Amino acid sequence: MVLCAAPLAAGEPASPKLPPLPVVERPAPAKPAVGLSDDRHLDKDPPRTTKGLDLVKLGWTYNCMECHRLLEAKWHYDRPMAEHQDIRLAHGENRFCLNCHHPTNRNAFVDYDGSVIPEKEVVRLCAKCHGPTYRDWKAGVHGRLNGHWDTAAGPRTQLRCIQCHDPHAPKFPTMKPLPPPTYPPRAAHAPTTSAGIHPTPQGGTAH
Amino acid sequence: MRDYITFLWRVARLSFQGGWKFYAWMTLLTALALVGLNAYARQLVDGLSTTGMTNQVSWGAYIANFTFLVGVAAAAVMLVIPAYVYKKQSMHEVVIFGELMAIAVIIMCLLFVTVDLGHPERFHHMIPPFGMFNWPGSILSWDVIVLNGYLLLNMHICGYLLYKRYLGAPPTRAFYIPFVFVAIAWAISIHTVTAFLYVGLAGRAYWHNPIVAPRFLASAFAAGPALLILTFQIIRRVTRYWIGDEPIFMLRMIMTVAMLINVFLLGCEVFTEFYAPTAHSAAARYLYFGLHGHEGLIPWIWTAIALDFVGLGLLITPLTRRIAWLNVACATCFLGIWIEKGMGLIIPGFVPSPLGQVVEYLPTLNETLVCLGIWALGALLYSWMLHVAIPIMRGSLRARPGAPAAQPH
Amino acid sequence: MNPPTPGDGGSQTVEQAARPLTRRTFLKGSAASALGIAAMAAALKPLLALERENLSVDAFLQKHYQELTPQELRRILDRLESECEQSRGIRPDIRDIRPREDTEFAYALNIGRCIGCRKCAHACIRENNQSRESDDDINMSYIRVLEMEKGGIDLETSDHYYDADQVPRAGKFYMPVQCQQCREAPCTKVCPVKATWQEDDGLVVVDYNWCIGCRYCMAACPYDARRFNYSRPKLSPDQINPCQSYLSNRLRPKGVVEKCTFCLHRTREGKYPACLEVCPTGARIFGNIRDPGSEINYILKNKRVYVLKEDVGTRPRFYYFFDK
Repeated sequence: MVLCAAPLAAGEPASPKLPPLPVVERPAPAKPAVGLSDDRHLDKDPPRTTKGLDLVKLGWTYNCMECHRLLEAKWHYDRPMAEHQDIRLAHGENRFCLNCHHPTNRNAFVDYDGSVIPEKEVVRLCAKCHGPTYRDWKAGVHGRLNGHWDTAAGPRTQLRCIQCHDPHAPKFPTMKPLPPPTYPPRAAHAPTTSAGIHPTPQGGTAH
Repeated sequence: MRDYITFLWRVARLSFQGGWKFYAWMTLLTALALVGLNAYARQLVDGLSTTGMTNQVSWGAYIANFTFLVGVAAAAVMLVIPAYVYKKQSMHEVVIFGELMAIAVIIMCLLFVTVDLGHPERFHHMIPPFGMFNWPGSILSWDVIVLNGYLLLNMHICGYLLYKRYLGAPPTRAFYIPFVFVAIAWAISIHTVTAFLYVGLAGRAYWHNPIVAPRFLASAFAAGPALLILTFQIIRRVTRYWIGDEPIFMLRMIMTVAMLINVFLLGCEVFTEFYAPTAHSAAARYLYFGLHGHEGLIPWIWTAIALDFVGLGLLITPLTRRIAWLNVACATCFLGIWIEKGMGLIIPGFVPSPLGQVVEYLPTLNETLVCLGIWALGALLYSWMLHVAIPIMRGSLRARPGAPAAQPH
Repeated sequence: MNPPTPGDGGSQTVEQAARPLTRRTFLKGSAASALGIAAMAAALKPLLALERENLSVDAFLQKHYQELTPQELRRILDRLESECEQSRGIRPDIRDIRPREDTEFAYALNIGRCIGCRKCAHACIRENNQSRESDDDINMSYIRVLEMEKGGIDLETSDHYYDADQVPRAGKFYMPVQCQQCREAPCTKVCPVKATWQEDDGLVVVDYNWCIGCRYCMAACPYDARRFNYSRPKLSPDQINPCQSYLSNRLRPKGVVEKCTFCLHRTREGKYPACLEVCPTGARIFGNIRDPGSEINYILKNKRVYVLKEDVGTRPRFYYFFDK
């Protein structure tokens, strides 16, 4: 039963009014070092360089439960929440906060049986629905590996789901492409218009 | 041996003896060749960026001229076969001029390949003891062998016959007849191998086509005789060596047949590409009608086709029984085939690129000057060879002036 | 048996007809020779500008890579490093890295994931020291990213120059193409001097000091994977990646062909190629095809894979696949 509050930090007696703050398990840096240090000429930033709330982006680190032990978890919200302005949920049919967030430990996620999935194991949460993708990720063919293909020769890092996908809107975002090649400068008959360089759709003859 | 050294000495002296017209002509050609050399020196310093070639169109005017000229060199065989196989006496009087032309033209071919190299100073990488010759894998290494072999064969045949004639002694058949017959097969092979350079590339659909080799031969056997007919008339006019009409009309007949076959094969190709067009017809579409708004080759190919048809039209009518019209036909055929094999065959092989990119090509001024220089050098070589060979043929340069002239071989 | 020359031929030799050698003709001849030599010198004058690296005797006498002893190779690497230091102002570390035992590289690209951002093409040029006019010039990159119309794989309608505000664009898909490291490589077959060959780990490499620059391999390549140095590569010292190897990304002389080597200076040391490291969508999968547990073998076993231009018989080691 998902709504059931999972046992919090073990051993602590539950306060009658407010539950105690759970222990926060975060992955250390917001932008983990990726790949090898001597590759400064290569841009290996994960596609999604920011994650979390606006306040977190501004450097505010705090325990989610500081607020959420006062605010009871609800399944339905009828308006964008003032506290989470940046969240626009576009995750298909998956439209309830508590589908993923743990009802009584908002620093973590919820497993099938209501138990806690710590934030650093977020992949397990995504795997609940995205089985085939998870299988590929585990095999190293979904998402990006960096560093060494031969792990005997050196370390390898693997990006986790939310380093590329925004969990609230997981469709991979569009991006500005890097500059294109040019019509070879020494070639004859350089197109005079910028449109003239692109092929005509049918590849037909243009008289 | 002493005779031979004297022979060489007299030939060398003769090379510098002539009237003012001879000097003017040779000076002009030398000057043009030097202009080409100058352009080539600039290319050596700045790299092939002095040409219009790109990563997409990686061969251009140099290889186009090379391909065309291999055909012209091979066409010498069109004099040799009537002379030696069908024993046409009249052809024996002129066959040497075809063989000499083959020598000059093969040298031009080798020069055109050399100027196309990014590192000509590494040419020795092809020569087995110093280098690594990729034979039999690479068709280009086959081409190097057959071209140099053809050059040596013709140099031997011409040198031997001219020397014997100079001595006034009849040539020993064993010393040249076998070479003549080898050279006949060899001539076919040089142009076939050159065609295989292109045909062997499965990634270039426009070239990967068995009709290329026969078309090469057909167009070569039209262009080569065309040049020979024109040359014979120049020889007839400016020297006292008389060439009768018979060889010229024999060549006209050969040319007419070759040109008919050439145009027929062109038609076969056009039918295949346009009646049932596939993804592989893009190059032909670019060539004849343009692709994605790129129309660089349209004027070239339609000019070539017009020239081909004018030439063929003249050849099959009685009009070309008159020398003046025959000359027109020769000039149009020669020019038409030159365009068709250069801009019409080499360049479309690269357009569109294997990834569908349409990048056009035109030779630059520097590239054109290098080409011009090589053509001038070829003309210079051929003029010099004729200047030396004709007195020997006429009998006015002879080991013993009193001796009777030897019979023509 | 008519003599070929009717008329007046034979009565007088050409030498009798020619003017005798007098002081006057001798002077004229000398003047003409002097003029000719001067014209020749003038024609060759541009050669004075030849750079010193084009005139190195050591480079001229250098043997083919595969025939070099370790000592000779060491000397060559030293020479190349100091040449680069002199001419470019930066001393690179050029190594000779041999194929690894029991390794054959293969690449797979998820055509459904590529969004056409061109980060691979730009990383390639930063990694491999190709010539460039500016930091954004990728004309010499070994990777071409093609924008294609959905509904087919027609290379002829591909757009190399797309410059959208945002990619992927509606109705389009993207296909990066680079050297396919073919098992039946047409490029190595046609090279007249064996300056390009396939190594034991499947990589097709070029000895830039052996290539004669005939560009036959470029004509042979069905994937437009080869580039030619039409002039001396343009790179500023800060653009040079000093981590180099002899067969891959060391600075090339002008007049030679170059190509993708799957970044062999990285991959033979167990690292990933540069294009894979930067791919934002993780569309690129690289590994050892002889290792049954490798990611690349997982792709070949579990995904729908195709190769580009299967009909030309090149049997590429570069695979494209779909997963949804």
